[in-house]
Amino acid sequence: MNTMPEANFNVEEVNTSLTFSKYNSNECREEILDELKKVLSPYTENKELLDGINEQTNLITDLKINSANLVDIIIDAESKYNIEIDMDSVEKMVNVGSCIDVIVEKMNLKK
Amino acid sequence: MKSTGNDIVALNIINRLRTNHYSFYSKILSVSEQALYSRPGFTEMPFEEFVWLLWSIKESVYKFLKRIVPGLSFSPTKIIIQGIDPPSREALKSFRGIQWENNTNESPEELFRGVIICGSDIFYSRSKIHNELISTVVSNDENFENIWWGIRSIDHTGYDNQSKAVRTFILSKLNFILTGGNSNLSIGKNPLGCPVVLKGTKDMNIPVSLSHHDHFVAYSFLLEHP
Repeated sequence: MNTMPEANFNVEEVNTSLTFSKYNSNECREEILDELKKVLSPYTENKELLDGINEQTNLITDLKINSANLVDIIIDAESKYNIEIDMDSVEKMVNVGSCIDVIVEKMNLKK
Repeated sequence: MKSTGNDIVALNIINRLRTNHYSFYSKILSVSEQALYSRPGFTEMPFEEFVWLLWSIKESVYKFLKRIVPGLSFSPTKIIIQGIDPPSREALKSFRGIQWENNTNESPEELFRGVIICGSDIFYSRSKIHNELISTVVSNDENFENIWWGIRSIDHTGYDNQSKAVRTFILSKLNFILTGGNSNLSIGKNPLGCPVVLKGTKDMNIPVSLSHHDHFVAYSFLLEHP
C-alpha cells in the first residue's frame, strides 16, 4: 500500500516566516532602530555615538554600556513593544542589529 | 584553563524595586538558583542584593571563559550556580578606606564562596559584600592559588575615568610585584577583546580581568610565578 509522504513543514512555521518578512522590512527595522536609541539612551554616556548608531554598533564595546544594565535594556524593550524576551534570546543581543532581530521575532509571536 | 574573571556592582545605583520584580530576576536566576536564597545565612540579605551577588558571579565566569572561547556571548542561564555559602565570620559592613587587596587584611572566612557549573567546567567564586558594593572573583582552582584581587573607590565616574583608574590600579600592583616599582608595564587588549599585560610590546601572558561600576573599580589576575 502506498502512503502519502508527510509534509516536511508546518503551518505555524510558514506563518511566522511570512510575518517575519513583513516586520523585517528595511522601513520597519529603521523604525525599531530609532526607538532603540531612546531605550539605550539612559545607559550610555556617549549620546553623540548613539545618534549615529547602525546595526553593527556593539552595545558594550561601542556604546560602553555597562553589562549590569543589559537586563534593564531588555525589560525596557519588553515594555516598549509589549513583548517577552527570554534569556536564550538575550545572548544574541550583542549589537543593535541582533537586538532588532530579537524584537522583530518576538513581535511576530504576538500575532 | 589559565584565566581569571571578576565583576563589581555598586549597590547605590542598582534599581532595587526593579530587581525585585519577577520579570527582572527570572532573566538572571533559574528556579534552583532562586531557591538558594532560602539557605541559612541569607536571612538578613535583601533579595535584590542576592540577585546582584549571583549576577556578579555569572558575569565573572563569563569573563573567565571569554578569554578561552572566542566569540562567546553572555548567557546568564547557562552559567549555573550550584551552591553558595555565606561567610562563616561577619565582615565589615562598610567598605572602609579607598582600597582593598586580597593578600593584605582579610581572610576567606569573611567571603561568600560559590560553586558554579558551565557546560563541563566547574568554577569557584569568592565575593565581598559591603553596604556599598559587591565584588566577585572566580577561579577554576578551589584554593584560589596565585589569584590576586583588588577593589578601589574612585572620585569620578564616567567610562573614560573608570577605565583609566582601573588600569592605573592594577598596573601599580603588577609593577610593584614584577619590577619593584618601575612603571614599564601597560595594559592592552588581545584579539578577543580581553585585557593583557604588556612589557613594551611583549605579551606577559598574565590573565587579567578589569571591572568598574559607578565609584568603584576592581581587578583580578593570575600570576603563577611572581
